[in-house]
Amino acid sequence: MTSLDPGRNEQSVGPSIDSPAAERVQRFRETFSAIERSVAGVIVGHEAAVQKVLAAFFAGGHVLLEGVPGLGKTLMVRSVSQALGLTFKRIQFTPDLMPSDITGAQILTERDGEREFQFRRGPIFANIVLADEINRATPKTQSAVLEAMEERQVTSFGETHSLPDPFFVLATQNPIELEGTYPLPEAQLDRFLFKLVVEPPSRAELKEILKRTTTDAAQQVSIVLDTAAALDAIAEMRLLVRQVMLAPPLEDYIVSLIHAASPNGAGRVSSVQTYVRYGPGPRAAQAVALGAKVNALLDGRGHTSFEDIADTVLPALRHRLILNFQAEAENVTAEQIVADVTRSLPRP
Amino acid sequence: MSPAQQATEFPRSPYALIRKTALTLQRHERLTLFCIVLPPLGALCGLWWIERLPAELVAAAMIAFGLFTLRLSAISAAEPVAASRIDRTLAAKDVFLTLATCERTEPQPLRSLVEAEAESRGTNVEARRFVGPIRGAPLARSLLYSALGFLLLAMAPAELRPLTASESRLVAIARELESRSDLHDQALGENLHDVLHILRDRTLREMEKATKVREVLAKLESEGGEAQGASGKGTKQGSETAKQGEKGGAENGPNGQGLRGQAQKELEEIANSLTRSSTSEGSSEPSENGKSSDHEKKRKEGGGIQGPGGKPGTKERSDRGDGNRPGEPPLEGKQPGESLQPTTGGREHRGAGERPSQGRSPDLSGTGNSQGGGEQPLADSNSPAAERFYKPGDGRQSPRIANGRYVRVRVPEESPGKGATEVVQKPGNTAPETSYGNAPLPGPGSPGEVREMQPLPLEYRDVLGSRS
Repeated sequence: MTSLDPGRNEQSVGPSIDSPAAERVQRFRETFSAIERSVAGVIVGHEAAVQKVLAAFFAGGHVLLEGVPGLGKTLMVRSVSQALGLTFKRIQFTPDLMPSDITGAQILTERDGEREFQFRRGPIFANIVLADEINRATPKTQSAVLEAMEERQVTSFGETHSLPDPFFVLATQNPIELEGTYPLPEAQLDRFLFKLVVEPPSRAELKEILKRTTTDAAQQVSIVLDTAAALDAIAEMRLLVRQVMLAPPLEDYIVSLIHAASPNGAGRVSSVQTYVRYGPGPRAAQAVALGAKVNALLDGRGHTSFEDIADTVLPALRHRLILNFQAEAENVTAEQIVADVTRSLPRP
Repeated sequence: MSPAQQATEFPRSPYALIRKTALTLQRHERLTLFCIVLPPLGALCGLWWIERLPAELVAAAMIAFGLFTLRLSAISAAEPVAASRIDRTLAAKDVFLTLATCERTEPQPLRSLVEAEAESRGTNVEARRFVGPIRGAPLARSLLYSALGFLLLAMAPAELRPLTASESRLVAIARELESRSDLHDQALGENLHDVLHILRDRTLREMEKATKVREVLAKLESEGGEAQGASGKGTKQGSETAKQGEKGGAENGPNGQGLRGQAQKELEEIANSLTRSSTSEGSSEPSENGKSSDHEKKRKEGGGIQGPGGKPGTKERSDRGDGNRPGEPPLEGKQPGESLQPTTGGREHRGAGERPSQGRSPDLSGTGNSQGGGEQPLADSNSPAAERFYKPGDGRQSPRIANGRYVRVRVPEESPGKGATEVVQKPGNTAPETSYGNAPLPGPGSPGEVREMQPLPLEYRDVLGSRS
């Protein structure tokens, strides 16, 4: 598994003061840790992936999970939604899936002898949506999710329907079965805050999976936030994330990072110029900053640091670097280029 | 340490710590920069001391270095830099950087948390802790480059040396004179250029340079005196014309006379400074110094160039080293031939291991280095007398002389009352034997061979006759 662990200290490293700010940060950390523990009761391993999924959720973004079948991606998402006490819907993307199957459709209904069209909400109307194997649907269907992900609303027959808040899309895609799939377009990829690669379990994790799934000792997800309080708590946590301080020199560093990863940007590195067709856009900078802020809160701090940013760069940039044919021919991956970019930039 | 002392010693708030660290860092940076700048400044002063750089340039460079140092230290010691140093030292995860760079006026709900964390990281720390020692590598580089630059400039050719202020003024005057239509002015401009070359010649000593400068100065004065004399002898109209000329010179500024005055002034200054420096450095050479001062005294008493001075032949004669150097009093009461005999002192100096005159300018210092050559053998070009001539390419102030030889001439004497016929004296009757001509003579056996004994053409009678 790719190490995405930010090295979060479970011990409180922040100041032991009783200010409201400190209390808010402390509450955030406790809630976050409780959700992690709850999910870990069902999902073996994948701690870093779970943490990044939660970070993206509280940062207000969406996550693309990539991994071979059977690694527990769907279970992970279902567990997170259960722990948060939010509504959860799962959409299995197939080539014949139509946009109306996702967003909903106008259905002719008869009421009091009068026939009228009534909008029947699709599965996208949920707090947490799992778009399973999203690359198996046609681009037409994939693009139906675009508006929902970015605008948090659905338009059908000229009527706009708002999606519930919070709205969180977790998409999965299988990197090996590419036949009959439709790779996600760049515009849709850019709408995911992070792209996480789910790695196969280790030996010890596999033994634990065996123990949990082949005995009667089945684990249940404990609900951390009950449904009534969940929405307020989540809104407060999302607000807190955005209140974390980000020093201007660190902002400059993020901007330099994005420019260095763009083939036409200032200060680009040689590997970017050689292998990258399209570089990251402004959403990438937002993703890095928001991910760093969540990391800072998880560390009990009210400000971001260089380490927080460095930990977020890879999941925020890897799917935003569109490589060219030369990179494909030479087996150069986006991860290698991101590593080149971070190495080339001096610490602020 | 008492708490009160501690309170004054250590800053309490993180902002105060950042400010104090920034100040300490600024002082440290200035000290480091001063240490780095010191070697090049020393090299500049050294170059000025050995007169390889003018004082104006050194002063300008020092001021520039000072301003650059101040500017650089102000840039490098900003508060964010100090905050970063604190963060790195205390492993504070950019908390001080955040406090130093985020605007305090903006509402930040979590600022109190950040401030509290900064305080918990330890603000009771001396600011000096965040300032490291002076970096040795830049200092070593500065020393190395300064030493290299000093050596390069010290050993560079004189032509590459920048002009001093007086030299620059001299060049300007020379150019102005050369641009004039008056032939005298043009000649003077060329002379000033030659003076400049002499001043920048490293092979010459200060005394020699001073002598050369004084020669030009004396020439300038004599020309000015002649001009005044001519105007004084003139009629009323002439005096009026001269007055008008003077008036015009004063009004028009840098006309011929005004430029000459400026040139005289500059040359006097240069000559005085050279004399002073030669006096100071010549304490180890009392004999030369004494002779030089005697020579100068004589020159002052004599009142400059005499004899055939002012005529075109004067310079050539003096450059040949015929014993009657410009600026030296005329050898009155002697026959021309006697006056051209080499002095004993000159021979002594040659024998004492003085530098040979070949490959350098003729001795103009009045130390007796120049050799008489009137009695030297004529055909033997390898004889010591040949050293009196310039080699091809030598002698900037004189025409090029190559393969020169002395010939003996018979001076024809006019027979009074017989103006129609010329009686040529027999060989041996002519008392003076003097060098004549500087053109390469045809060798023995070649057409137009010049015999050792030959009559002097009549047109040169006046030249030699003026000596008797």
